[in-house]
Amino acid sequence: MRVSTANSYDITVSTLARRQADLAAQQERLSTGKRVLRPSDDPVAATLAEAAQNRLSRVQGDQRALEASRASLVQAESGLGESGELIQRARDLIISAGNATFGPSEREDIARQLFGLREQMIAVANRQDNAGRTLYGGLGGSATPFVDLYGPTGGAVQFQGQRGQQAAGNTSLPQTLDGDAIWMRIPQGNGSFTLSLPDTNTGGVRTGLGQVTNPAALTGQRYDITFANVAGVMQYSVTNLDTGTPVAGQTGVPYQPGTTIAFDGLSFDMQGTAAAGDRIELRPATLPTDIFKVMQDTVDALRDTGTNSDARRLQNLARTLVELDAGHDRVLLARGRAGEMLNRADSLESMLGNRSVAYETEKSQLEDLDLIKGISDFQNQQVGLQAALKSYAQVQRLSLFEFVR
Amino acid sequence: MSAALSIASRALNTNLAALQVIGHNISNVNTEGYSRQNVLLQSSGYQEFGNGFFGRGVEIATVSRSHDAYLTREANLSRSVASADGTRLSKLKQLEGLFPTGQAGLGAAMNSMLNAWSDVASAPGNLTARVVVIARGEELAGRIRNTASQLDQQKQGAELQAEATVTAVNRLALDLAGVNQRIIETQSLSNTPNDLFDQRDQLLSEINKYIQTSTVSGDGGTVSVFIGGSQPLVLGQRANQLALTNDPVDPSRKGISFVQGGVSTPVDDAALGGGELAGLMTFLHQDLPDMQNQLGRMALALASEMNTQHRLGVDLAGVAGGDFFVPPAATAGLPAPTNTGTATARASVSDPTALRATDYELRVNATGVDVIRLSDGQSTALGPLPFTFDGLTFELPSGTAAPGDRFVFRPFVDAARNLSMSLAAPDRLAAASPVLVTPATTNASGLSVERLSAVSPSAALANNVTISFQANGTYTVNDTTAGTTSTGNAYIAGQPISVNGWSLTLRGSPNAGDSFTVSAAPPGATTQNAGNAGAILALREQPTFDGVPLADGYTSLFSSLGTRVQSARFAADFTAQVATSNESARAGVAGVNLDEEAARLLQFQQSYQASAKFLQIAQSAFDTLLQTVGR
Repeated sequence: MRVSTANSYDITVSTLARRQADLAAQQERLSTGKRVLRPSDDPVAATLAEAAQNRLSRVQGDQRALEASRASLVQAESGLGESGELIQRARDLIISAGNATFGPSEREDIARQLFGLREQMIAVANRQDNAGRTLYGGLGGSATPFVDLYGPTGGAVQFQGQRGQQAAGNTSLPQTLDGDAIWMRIPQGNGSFTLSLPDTNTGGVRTGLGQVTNPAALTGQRYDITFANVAGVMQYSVTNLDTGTPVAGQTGVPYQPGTTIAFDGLSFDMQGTAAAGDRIELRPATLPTDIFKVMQDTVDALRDTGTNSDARRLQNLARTLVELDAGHDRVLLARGRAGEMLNRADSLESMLGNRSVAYETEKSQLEDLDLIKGISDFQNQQVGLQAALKSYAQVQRLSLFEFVR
Repeated sequence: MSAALSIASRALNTNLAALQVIGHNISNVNTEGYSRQNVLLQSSGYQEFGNGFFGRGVEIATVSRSHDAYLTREANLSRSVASADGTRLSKLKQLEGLFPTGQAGLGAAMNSMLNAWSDVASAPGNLTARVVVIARGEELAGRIRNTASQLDQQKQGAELQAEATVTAVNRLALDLAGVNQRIIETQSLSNTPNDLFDQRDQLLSEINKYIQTSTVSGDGGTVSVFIGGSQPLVLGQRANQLALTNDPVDPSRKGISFVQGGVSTPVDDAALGGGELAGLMTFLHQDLPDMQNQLGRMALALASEMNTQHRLGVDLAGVAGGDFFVPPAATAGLPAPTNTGTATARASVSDPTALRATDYELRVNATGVDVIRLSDGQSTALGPLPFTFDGLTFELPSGTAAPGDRFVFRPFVDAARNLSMSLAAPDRLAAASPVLVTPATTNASGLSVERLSAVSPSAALANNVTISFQANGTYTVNDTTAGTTSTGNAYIAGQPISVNGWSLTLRGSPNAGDSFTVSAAPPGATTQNAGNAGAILALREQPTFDGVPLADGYTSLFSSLGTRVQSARFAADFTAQVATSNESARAGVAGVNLDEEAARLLQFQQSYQASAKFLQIAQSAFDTLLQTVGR
């Protein structure tokens, strides 16, 4: 076979060029540490690496959102702690107000302190996180969820957030708690019915909070207990206002202070001396009250200076104390929930962290160069190029003209 | 005696001539297209004397060219195919450079824009987070625009290259016609003009580098050259021309035409066969438009989906959201010059998730239209316009179409070039949901709200709707505004409940009697409401690009490009190898080997020396005779 001299030179030169190009490409890979520099190097790996990169950036976004949620939840949790302390202080004040030696001025002093605590509670409930998001706005609504509206009948707080608790997602946590459920839904009285004394009472009769003895027998209707002096004997009668009929067995019963009265599945005790015409109103607890109203009720009870206010004050303070405790329970419950969410934030964070590492690893496995293999390939190619150059140099000296001088 | 002298002188001349040819070979060892020449010697015959036939020495029969027409044709063909593949590969590599992966890629820009909404969702009242979304949106739009304009530049570059190549082919064709003329002029019966033939073959080989040809040999060694199957580029001594001309339907597209006698005939890309021009045309007509379409589709789908969702939201001032990106304009159909009707045609996006990255052709027939997807050639017969196909709504806004009319649509080619942000003010970012959900106070706490957002435009969006769960596990939807009720809907935890264009996702298990009311969001609640931001984040998972989620749209784009480059590289490597080995085979026959020439140099030098010796002997014999006679 003949070999064309010019063609053999051409081929050698192009082979050398190709080897040098390969070496340069390998060097580029080594210096960048990447096996896949362009999609065409390995389209499948490039696609998967890009998808991993997308997931990674999403995980980073999720992590930032989680951090924001966690920061808000931490503030919400500590806000609930403060709210609990405020309730505790209010409770201490209410108990101290029961001191029989206190006169109206001492009580007014306590009432003022309680009113201040109420204002502080509203401030806590309206707190926002660093980004201006309400901590207790529920599902949205106004930037000031708890609005203290003053009207002819005194102050009343309205919830202008959006009721409801946001659920935790697969990788996210709610940023706000449902303030309505925390402070605005406290059961009235014992949760089933309330007992109150009208201003018109002249005697000193008052009652305990009462309790449900047989839930199945409850009617959920309104009752009045009226006192009458029949032939020197103080008697009481119970009337069902909804049916307009006296309750069987509770008509004209002689009254003794400390008597426990039971009918229609409920019972309560009555204390103090009753005067003829006195009345006790038993009402079903339909709507929940709120912590701010409880505080307001306490303040109102302390400031009550009407006739026979002592019995009413004792009656009302006993009730607000129970309601306050119920409110405290709800705050503690919410705080527990917030703490649980913070725990969940920790586990979500470590999950997102693991996921992020997994995506990084996947991406690296797909597109990074195995350095050992890369260097050994580089050495191989270098040796190959050297051999090619050397053989070229030797072959090109082989010429018949060299010998025929 | 004189015969001996004449034998000697003829031998000297002949051997010198052979040495001259060897010298010619040696000097042309590196000449492109040169074919080794051989001196063919023959005996000069004989003279008859009474005592026998006496030879008259040696003479030159002819100088021949060492050449194999078959190997030359093979080398030319494989060279033209290799140059087509090589040209396409180098263009594709440039194209690939426009679509980087990782942080520098369009995919990262798109994801960072979408992920930025997560900060808005965390703090809907935070203007900084909103500014970041807008800035990322502007960056994304800018990068897509920039990529599109670079694609346009590549197109122009490839067209300029094609223009230059066409000029080169035309010049070579003229040269070849000239060589043909000279071959006819120097025609002789016994000898061939070897160097002219070499020149002719070299011109042919150069033309083949640019465009594949087929040849027919003519009188006296002339050759006629045909391209594109049957178009006579060179016919004997006459050359015709190629030209780069605009497509009659789509003036932005340029193709190769064959010009003969002032009549221009388009040459189909598939008929080009090989050569740089074939590579350039494949790039210009397939690779580049495909990438333009994919990029355009990405821009169009992103803009449409973002705009739709953004318009469903409410901005910080409580006003319904506007467009996020400038909405893409409808694409006008390009009418064929042969159309007889007066109709104009256009196409607009109706379903961004169903788009296919391709061009379309519309053919009007007697009963309706056929729409042809140009990527796979699939034709679908449809009734009269307007209709929706592949997520596009085609319509004829004016005029009447006549049967036989054709329109070409390139719906995606402008989308990427023109993508820009419509929104500039951060407070206009519609992050809030127009509806809010209120759980009833009596709900047992087993069920909580994961997400509520508007997902599609609806006039009844803000209707008051109560969803109440029944004892049998189903739920009732009661639209109190419209006064409609639907009962017995099955509830699956975590699956969205979609009514009136909104979608509500609940978590947990319901208790009988639980109810939720969805109604218009109260004004002034927008700083605490990130429902629409959540819905935009959910777009990331929306299957958009042939089922690939929106956030991963870029991967399908560059993976198709990567595969294309990879296969082009395999093809180029393979055809280059074939071309090299064919060229080696050709050169093996036609090329000069210096060692061989050196050997032959010695051979003829020796025979020259021997002839000279013979002359000397003949001369001395003559001298001897003269001396003898002279005495």
